[in-house]
Amino acid sequence: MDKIKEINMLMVDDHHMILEGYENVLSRSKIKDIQLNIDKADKCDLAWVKIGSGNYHIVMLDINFPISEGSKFLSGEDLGIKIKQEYPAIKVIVLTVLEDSFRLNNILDNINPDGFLLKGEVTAKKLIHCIEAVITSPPYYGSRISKLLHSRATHKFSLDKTDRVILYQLSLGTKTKDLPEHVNLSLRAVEDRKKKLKDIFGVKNEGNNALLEKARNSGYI
Amino acid sequence: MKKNLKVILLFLIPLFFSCDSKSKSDTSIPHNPHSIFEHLSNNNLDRHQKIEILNDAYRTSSKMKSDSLKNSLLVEISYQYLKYEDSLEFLRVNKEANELSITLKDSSAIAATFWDLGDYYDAKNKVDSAYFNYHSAQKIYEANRDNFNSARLLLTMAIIQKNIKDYTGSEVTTVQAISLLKPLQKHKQLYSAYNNLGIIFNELEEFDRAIFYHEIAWEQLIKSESPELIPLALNNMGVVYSNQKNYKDAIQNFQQGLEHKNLYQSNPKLYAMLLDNLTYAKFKSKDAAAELPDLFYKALKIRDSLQISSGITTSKLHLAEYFLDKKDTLKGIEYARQAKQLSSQSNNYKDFLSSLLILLSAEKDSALAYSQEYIRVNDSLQKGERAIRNKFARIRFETDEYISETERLNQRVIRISIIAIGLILISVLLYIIKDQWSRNKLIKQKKAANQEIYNLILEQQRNFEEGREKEKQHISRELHDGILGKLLGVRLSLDSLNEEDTPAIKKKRFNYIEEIQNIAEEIRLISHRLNKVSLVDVDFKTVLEELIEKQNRGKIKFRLDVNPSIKWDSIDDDIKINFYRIIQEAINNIHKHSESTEALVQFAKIGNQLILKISDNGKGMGQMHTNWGIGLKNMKVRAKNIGGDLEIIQGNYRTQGSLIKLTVKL
Repeated sequence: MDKIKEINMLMVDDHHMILEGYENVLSRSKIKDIQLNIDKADKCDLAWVKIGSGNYHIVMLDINFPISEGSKFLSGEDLGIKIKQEYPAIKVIVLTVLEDSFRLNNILDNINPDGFLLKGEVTAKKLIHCIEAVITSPPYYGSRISKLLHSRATHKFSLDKTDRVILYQLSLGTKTKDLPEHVNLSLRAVEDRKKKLKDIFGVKNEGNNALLEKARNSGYI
Repeated sequence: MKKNLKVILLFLIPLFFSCDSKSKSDTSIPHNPHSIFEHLSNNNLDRHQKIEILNDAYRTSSKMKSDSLKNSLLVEISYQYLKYEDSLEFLRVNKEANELSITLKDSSAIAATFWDLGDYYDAKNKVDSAYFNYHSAQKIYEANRDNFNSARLLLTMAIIQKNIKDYTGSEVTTVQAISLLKPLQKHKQLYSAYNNLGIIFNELEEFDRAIFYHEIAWEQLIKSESPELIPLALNNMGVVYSNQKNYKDAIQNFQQGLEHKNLYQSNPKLYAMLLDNLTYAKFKSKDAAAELPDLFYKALKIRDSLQISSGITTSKLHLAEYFLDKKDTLKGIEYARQAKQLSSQSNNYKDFLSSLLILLSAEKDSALAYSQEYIRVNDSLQKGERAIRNKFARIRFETDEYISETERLNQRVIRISIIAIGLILISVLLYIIKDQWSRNKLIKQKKAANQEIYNLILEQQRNFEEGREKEKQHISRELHDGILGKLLGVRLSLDSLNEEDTPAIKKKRFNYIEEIQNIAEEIRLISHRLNKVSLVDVDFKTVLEELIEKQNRGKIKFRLDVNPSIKWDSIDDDIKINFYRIIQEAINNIHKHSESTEALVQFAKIGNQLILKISDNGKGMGQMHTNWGIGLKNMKVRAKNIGGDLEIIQGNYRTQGSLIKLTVKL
């Protein structure tokens, strides 16, 4: 007879309907040898208080929250970073509607979550599977995130954060000559990096649009 | 000249009287001046009748307006009076015509009156007055560059100068006249001029030159085709030959003259002169065949019958000479005495002196008395002539001075005119510049108003754009986070409830299906909002709404009420921007001073009048202080700029506050 493992889990999301959905899914699904104790919070501050007082193994975290005045957390990302800093043992699963590669990359860099799913691709099964995987053999990433990680791996040695900022700013329509304001580099350096980026994406003699197109396809922006 | 005048007159008078007869068809004018001058040419009338006609014409003219028409009529009347020798009337009308001409600044008419007056004095033998008037007329023609009339007058003056023995002066004047006449090819006048030169040199006893000039005169005479002048020319030439003692040529000339057709009938005076001169030449040439002294008598008889005193004395002098030559001393002395008496009576000093010379040699015993008288008369004559010559010189000098004075005045007038024209031009220029400037200013003003409205609308559009952008983001977020989140929740819940089929679960599932309906409703609302956001159209009214909206952050509640029938696009930007600024000013005042709780901005349109009312329920403008005053002044200036009428009404009917009413015609 295997010993039943008790797992305390905190779900943080501003939408009660989602929390209810999660609860419905998790309460009805049996995970082998695991007893899930579910707790809920609809605000980051409330979640932080609960984390401080409770003994959670897993925190399921949304990223977007309505801005509330006086809160030290602008988003779930801040809360995630804080948890990883203060309670590195707690496993963090990020569940977000965000699809923007730049944000997703940032979340990967900043939180390095143990589970990462996009809400759009979540089903009851996947959610269960994710929790299971996070408990037994983290990390678990959804297909979108896996793809993103793959392209990161491809360009691992060439694309750092500054490169991504440059691509992101270019995609917003920022002019090359204004880039130094955003990346803390000289214009000369920015141009060198742009040249390198074009090299990497194989659009050596083409314009910014071709570069952005490739970067977008690769999920950088 | 006179001919010209008359032509003008005949042309003008029918015009004048045709108008006049229309207006005064009943009040008959005694004589139509046009017919007057026709009547005058009627030879059946005697001098008295003709003068009566002229008197009538003069009375008619006195009723006329003092214009150039009357003036030309007066000039003509005065000329006619001169022609019919009515001195009194001539002098009166001539003076009037002269003064009117001067008033009208009609220089050729002025000259004509001087000329007539000169003719008058010439006829009266008042040579100095005649010379003065001729000279005055001549100077005017000279100034007018009327060379022909100028030359004619110079000629007349030259003849007067010759008559007073101012031969040098006369020669100079004649040469002047010739230099003017030559280019004009006026042969008749040129004949007179050369003839005058011939006479001058005859008198100076330079007979060869006299003959030379007479021959030139003869050539001009032939060219002029004036056969009536031929006998006189022949006579003058004959006299020179006679004086040269070339009696053969003299006789030939005189005879040729006498043979001129109808001379006796047309000019008996000249006929008598030629006959007398011929007889004298024959007598001097000792022509035995001549019928002497019968031919002398014949000439004398004609002259007697014509009462030509100068001719009679000449004839008698010739007879005296003839009889003395024939040793008939008694008869000779008798004729000489008669000549002396007659010439003395007629002031014919030349013949008087000639008669004295004859008597001097004929009556030896009275020779001393005669010679003394001769010297006395000759001296006084020369003195008189010298005096007149001096007078002429003075006239010329004074006229020259007068002319240089006139020129000076003219130059001053020209200078003043140029300055005046310059000033007028400058003021016209200034006016144009000012006009252009104010027009530009108006255009600029319009442009500025246009720009201001445009900026307001643009700003408003930017605000809206920003708002729209925010709203869009908000909606997007709501869709993304809200709706998607809710759907996710429902999806997950339904997914987990799928396996079981208990009634409790069924009920739960039904709840989630209901929830989907709620989400659908939410989507509908968002869609509606999205529609609204994209439909915003910015115009002046939105700008006004924004302005009023902004005011509501304070304690006073502002409302805007705009009549929807007002078409803002068709209203001038200048009007709109001034309305906007006036509302701003009024709102400022309401905020600062009114202490009201409510304010209303209303726009209405009645006919083509746009009416703005701004009212509040504050303390009113009873105790207006200076700040209020400046605000009101600004509003008034703005209202005036767009031709509007600004009224400030205290305590409107609903409240105790104030009411500002602005009415503008569109």
